[in-house]
Amino acid sequence: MKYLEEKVMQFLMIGSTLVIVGSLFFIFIVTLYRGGGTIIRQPGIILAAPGPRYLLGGGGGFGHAILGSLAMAIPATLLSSLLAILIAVYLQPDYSPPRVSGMIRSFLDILWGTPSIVYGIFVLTVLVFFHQRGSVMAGIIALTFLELPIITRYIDESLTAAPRDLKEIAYSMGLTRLEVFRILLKYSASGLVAGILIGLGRALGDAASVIFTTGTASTIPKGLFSSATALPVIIFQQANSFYPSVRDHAYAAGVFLITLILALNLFSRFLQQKISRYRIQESK
Amino acid sequence: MIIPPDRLGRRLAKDRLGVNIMAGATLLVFLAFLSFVVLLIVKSRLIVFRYSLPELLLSSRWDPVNHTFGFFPSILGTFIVTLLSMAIAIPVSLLTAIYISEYLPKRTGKYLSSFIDVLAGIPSVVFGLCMLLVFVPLVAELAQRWFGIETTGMCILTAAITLSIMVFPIIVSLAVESLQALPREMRETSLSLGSTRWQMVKKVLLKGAGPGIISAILLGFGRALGETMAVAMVIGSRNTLPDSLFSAGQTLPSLIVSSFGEMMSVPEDQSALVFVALVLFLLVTVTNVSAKTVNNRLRKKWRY
Amino acid sequence: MGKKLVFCMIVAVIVTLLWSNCGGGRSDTIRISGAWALYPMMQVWADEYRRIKPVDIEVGGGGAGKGMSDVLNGQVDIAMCSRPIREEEMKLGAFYLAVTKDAVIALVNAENPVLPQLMSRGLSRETLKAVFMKKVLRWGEVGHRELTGDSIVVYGRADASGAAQVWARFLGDYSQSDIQDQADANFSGDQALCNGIKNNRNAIGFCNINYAYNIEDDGYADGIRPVPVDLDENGILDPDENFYANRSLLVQNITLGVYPSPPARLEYLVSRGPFSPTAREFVRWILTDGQAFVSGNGYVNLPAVQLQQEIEYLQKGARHR
Repeated sequence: MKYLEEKVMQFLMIGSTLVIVGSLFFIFIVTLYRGGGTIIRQPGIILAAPGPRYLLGGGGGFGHAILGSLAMAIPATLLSSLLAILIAVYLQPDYSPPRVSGMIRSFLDILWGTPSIVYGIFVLTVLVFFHQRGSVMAGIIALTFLELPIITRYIDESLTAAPRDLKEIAYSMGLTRLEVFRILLKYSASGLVAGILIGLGRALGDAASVIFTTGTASTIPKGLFSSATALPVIIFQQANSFYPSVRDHAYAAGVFLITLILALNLFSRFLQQKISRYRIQESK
Repeated sequence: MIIPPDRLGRRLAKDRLGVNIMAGATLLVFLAFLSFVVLLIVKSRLIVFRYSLPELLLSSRWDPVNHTFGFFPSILGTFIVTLLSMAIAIPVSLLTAIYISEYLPKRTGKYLSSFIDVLAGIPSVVFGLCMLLVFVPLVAELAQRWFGIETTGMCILTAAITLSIMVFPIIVSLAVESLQALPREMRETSLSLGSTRWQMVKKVLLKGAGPGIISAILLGFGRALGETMAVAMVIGSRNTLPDSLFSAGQTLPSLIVSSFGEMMSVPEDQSALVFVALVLFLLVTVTNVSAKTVNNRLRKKWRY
Repeated sequence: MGKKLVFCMIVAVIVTLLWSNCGGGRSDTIRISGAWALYPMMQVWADEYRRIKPVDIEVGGGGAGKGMSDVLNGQVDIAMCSRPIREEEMKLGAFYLAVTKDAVIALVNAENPVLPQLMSRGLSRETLKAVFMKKVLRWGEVGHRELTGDSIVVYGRADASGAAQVWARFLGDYSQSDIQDQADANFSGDQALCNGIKNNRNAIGFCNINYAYNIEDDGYADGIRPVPVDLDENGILDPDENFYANRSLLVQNITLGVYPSPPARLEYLVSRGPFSPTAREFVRWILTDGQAFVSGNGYVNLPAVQLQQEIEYLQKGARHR
């Protein structure tokens, strides 16, 4: 009897795994099928700015959205990485007492769990309060908050995994905390790089935080305080357009976005492996 | 700041400065976030005072132009969609996690796990695109054929399916982690006594990994609550109490995205929008905090 | 390695600061957002105006509600609004000018089961109300035929839409939410709604006439058909009610006032307080030379008297003598 149960459960388990793996393939295949053709036929749309009647089926591409996405995601990633390093190092037991680091970690968990649309509303409310216009800067701030908990967690985990012996030897030789940190840099490096790339991917793909703050312009952003739009935002807006060419662009943008984020993820994993090779082998 | 004359003094001063900068950065981020939340609360005051809290949260009519703000359909929609998606996601994810952790050879399991993690990185608008293209017509077609129900396909069911796919990788990766953290002896003892693998899993491992699994589920739940774009693209944006799984509905996040444009002109509408965001934020935070608490409490109780 | 990282970050910050000083808030940029209904016309106006003046004009959509929000919050200079301005908005300083007129019409799928009847008989306002309020549920009932699989699918607007407001007013004393609550699904934007109708045989919805007809040849847009309104409610479409064959004919009849208002409506440009000098020049142009482009693009010219009136208001910065 129990063997029957075993067989049934195995069957269900394999089925479930196939469902999940299948959904991933489903996303890839559908996006590539629908958008791939457009990109292959008209690769220029990635670089082209939208023409004046872009949303009405006129010519042009979505280069402005790619530029906007990069203009917001890259500074946001830099800013949040900087903050993340500072915070993650501070979380280590040699810098802050356990109660404090516990509270900070709980705070980071709250940040982690906050939906991106709430960050968008946060920043929008501030903008309205100060009668400012939506701009690239506002998007950068929202994205920084979005990425911060992710990158911090990656660095924190890699720092916690650093071997204690090494730290203790270094301290016993009279090094200050910062100097010890420099030695441990190689350990945090893999976490930092992984976190940055994953964070960047998250920032590039997020529409909800940006759609309110930066707006939905059809122009190429010219400066930090000009309006812009982002790739995921145009996907959202154009997916249901009446004009086939506009819809096609939405799917093409989807392919571009997925490829970009996948590349970042894979690169991040590759770097993680490479850097961990330099880790000092722990004696057992 | 006086720079000490001796080298040791300088090193110590640098050290202290470094730590202060780090603490400062942490404080800065904390204060910024706190001020965001305070601003939300302040802005929500207008609508909460003008219409009582029960009226806002429990009435069913949403008509900002006529000064009627009933959030109940959106709240109900949020719960129905999220709970339904969890009902789909939990068994599928757990079974997959068990399969990866207990049945597959280590290397294969690792690759499969990494592969599933890719699902977590896919942006939500892309999910929305794919579901819009394939599942919306599919649901419409199948509902007609199997149940004779007419639906546009943009409905609560489609939104729930979308959410469950998005939640799979979260539950799977955390559950696998919890299972793999259990000591090998547990498995060996059980198997040596003649149980099948599934029996071992059921009776021994799930209890041991219980706290981790429950917190994985709660975290997935929190993610599903806050998901905006994909849901907004397939749910049909109807601000009424749903008649069935096949009718269009609304969730709190999709309400924000659909109506935000209008809602920032008039102070009352602004306040309503901010209030929705606040309610959503509180819901998600409570869920995530409970996830952590449950994890800690149960871990202490079921200590191995 | 740490030093290099810090150096890179400092460079990045400097580059960002430099970049923030160029472009951005130049004072001769006009930012516009708002109703999708006026969006095509505004694109034309912006194009033509840019030829004669070195101004940068950014035009966005988002719906009438978004436009009003944006302008009242200082996010844009001009809002396009396709519905009457609300009291609360006026209290916040909304100053509006009528610049053109257009209309909302009902649309069905080109393969609608009772299309011939619809095209030859039209639908009266009462019938349309019954359809959108879900009192009549099957196309068979509407077309007086026995059909199966013909449940009427009603689509509405999810975003803050002038068209929805105006259509609701036409059907009766309703608001957008009334339609939205009865609809089977709601879409964000005119275009998405039209697209939804195109994809569902039994669908009915409404949108601005410009999305119902082809820009190129004035004929019907792909896959959707306008629903004629039976104005005198006599059950058939008299010759003088039958003007939906192409856009120009329809526009003519809107101009003459044969097509009712609502759902024909004025299109407004709104600013918070008087228009800024650059914007005022642009709007002035719209009310004078810009009017030449109106009818060729499917919109209705306002009578000269009204235009003159609006120009006066523009100069004064307020809507009174």
